[in-house]
Amino acid sequence: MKRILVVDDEKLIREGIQEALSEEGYTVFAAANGNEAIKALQVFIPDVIITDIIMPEADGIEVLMNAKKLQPKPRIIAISGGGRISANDHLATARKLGADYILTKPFSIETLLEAIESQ
Amino acid sequence: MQFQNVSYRISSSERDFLRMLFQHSPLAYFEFNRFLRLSYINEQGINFSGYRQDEKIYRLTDFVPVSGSLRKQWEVNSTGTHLTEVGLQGKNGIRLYLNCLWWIIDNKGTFDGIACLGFDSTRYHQMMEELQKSTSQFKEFAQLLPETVFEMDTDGNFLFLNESSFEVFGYSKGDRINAFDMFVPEELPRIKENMKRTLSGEKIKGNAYLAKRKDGSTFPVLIYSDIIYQGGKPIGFRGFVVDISHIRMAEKALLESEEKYRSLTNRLPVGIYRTNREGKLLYANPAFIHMLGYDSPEEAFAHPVQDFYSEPDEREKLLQPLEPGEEYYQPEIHLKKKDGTRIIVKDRGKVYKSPEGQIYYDGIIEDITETHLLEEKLKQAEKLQAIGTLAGGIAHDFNNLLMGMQLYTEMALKEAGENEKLRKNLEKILLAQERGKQLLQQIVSFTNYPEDYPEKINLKDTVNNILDLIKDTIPETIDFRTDLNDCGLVNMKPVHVHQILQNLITNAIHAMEGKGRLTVTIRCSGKNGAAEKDRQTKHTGRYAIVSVEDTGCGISDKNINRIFEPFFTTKDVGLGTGLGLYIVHNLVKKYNGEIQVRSHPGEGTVLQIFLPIME
Repeated sequence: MKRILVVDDEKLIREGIQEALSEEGYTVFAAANGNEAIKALQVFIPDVIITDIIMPEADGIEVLMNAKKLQPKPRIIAISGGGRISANDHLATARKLGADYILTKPFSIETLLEAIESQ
Repeated sequence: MQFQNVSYRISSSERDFLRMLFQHSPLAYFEFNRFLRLSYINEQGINFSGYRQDEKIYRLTDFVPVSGSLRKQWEVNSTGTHLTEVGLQGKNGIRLYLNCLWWIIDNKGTFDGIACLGFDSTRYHQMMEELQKSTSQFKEFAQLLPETVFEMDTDGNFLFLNESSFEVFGYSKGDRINAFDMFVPEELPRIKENMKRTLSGEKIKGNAYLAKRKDGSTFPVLIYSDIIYQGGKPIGFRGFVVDISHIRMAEKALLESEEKYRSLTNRLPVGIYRTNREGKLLYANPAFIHMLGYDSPEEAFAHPVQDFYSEPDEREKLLQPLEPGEEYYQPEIHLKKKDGTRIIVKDRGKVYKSPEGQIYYDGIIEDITETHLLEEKLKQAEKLQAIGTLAGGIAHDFNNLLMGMQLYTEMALKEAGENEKLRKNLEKILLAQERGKQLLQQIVSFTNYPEDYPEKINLKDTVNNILDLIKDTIPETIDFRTDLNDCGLVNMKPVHVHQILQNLITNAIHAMEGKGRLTVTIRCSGKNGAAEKDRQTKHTGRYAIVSVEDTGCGISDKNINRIFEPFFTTKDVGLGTGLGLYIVHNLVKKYNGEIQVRSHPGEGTVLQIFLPIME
């Protein structure tokens, strides 16, 4: 089963996703911000990274940049609840920087599963 | 204000300026109305004649010998090229003489009186009388005078010249002087002609000439003369030459200051006025006339000033408490143009009181309508922007909350299994969550999504298609009409056109409460100034104007400035989000358009959307 790293500073969401995906049988690791995620990536390479964009310390974009250097390449799903000024421009940036999938919060578990499994 | 050098005419409103200028002048200033009765007299005039302004019985004909049509005579003869001497009866019965420059006062082409600026020449007449009494006395007397006194034969050879003459004309005692050398050559034919006419017994009016000093310099003079008889035959003339530089200088200074004042006030972009207590406009520069939309000064002068105010009693309220000498400043006054359009002006001025007790208001108005509108718009835009930023910030956190709601509800749904009641309740939470998500999307829908690529669409076709969809939602009791012109292409997403129309039509239907007329039109505007900001884009400078007009309840003045604010609604709780017009406003702005609203409570509302037409 796939190994997934969930990065979100919002505890409610981080734990929710972790729980939902674990129930689906995935091995899920969680990081509370970009720094934690980047540290984790030095230890292991997950199959899929689900990362929020706006976070304190290092943000999702940094996580994404670090992940792109990894070998083998993990799939990257960028998620965001919208920026402070406009809604989706951060996700568009993430897309440009190589995110495989972008999701606007809120989304359903089903949508997330599709994103994980789509190739 | 204008002086035509040839005809010396002034308009009746310009007369006020003359009064002001000559009020304290050392020269006497009189005005006679169209019935030739004294209508104004300055301080020096009162000193001179002993008459006061209110002595209306004093008639011009009492001291000016006239024959035939007086008006004609003044127009033909007294054209200001020379001074005219008039004799008059002073208050105390003494015969007085005045040498005057005359103006015809002209009121829209109608003779409205005569004005005279002059100096007292009584003294010279008294001397002439003395002189006729005794020749020997005369010579002693003459030597003492500061003016030129002469006796000469008919060829201009002097028989006598007093001391002052040499000084005045710059000659030395030994110089041989001929009278004709003492004037510029151009004057000689007239001098000789007048001498001839005097000898034949005629009274000469034009006795002002340009004299020449020994050094060639010139100065204007007046000559008072009489014939010398010897054995019953005329042998020459005796008289005075009076330097009238001062009156000519006053006249020149007047013309110059007039010219400066006129060209300055005519070019100023602010309106300059003088009004009196009763509300008569006495003076106004072209900018003032233009600002109020009148075609000519005469047209504006025909109105009482109260007519220019949006609220006729506003002027009274503003000016009533002011005392003469006080200055006033009104940062915002609402005026009404000839066609009824309202303008907002700044008004700044001062109150004056004339010696006759008349109260004047001299002031400047500046049209600030445009600035005022821009400020209002800016305030509105800033407010919306601030709310937009706030909404964006809330959206991020709010979405996270919704995300949590969705995640846990979905997980709980899984756990619920066969428990139908629990499933239903959880599904309701999901439904509420979905509505929250849509609401939030509406709030932030105006922001620029990079993936939002507008397309060039034919507005008429798009609107037509959308109206086809919306038509079914319009109650049958509402008379629905359309008039769609094809203005060409606009650069928009069709979904946004839909969103705009849907919102406007929903509001219109609500406002009509089931009955009325709903009209949707598209009109094409010509090029206009509003397009300036889009110069860099491919915008043609023309706009398609989409109007949605209803005959509903209208929007009150109190609310009209707030309709574009988010969450502002007049609908009952639960019926409106207060986001419809906010979204329309933001979408229209996003496409560099404009939105305008006109509404009369009880009659209906028109919302106009201006969308730039593309090449």
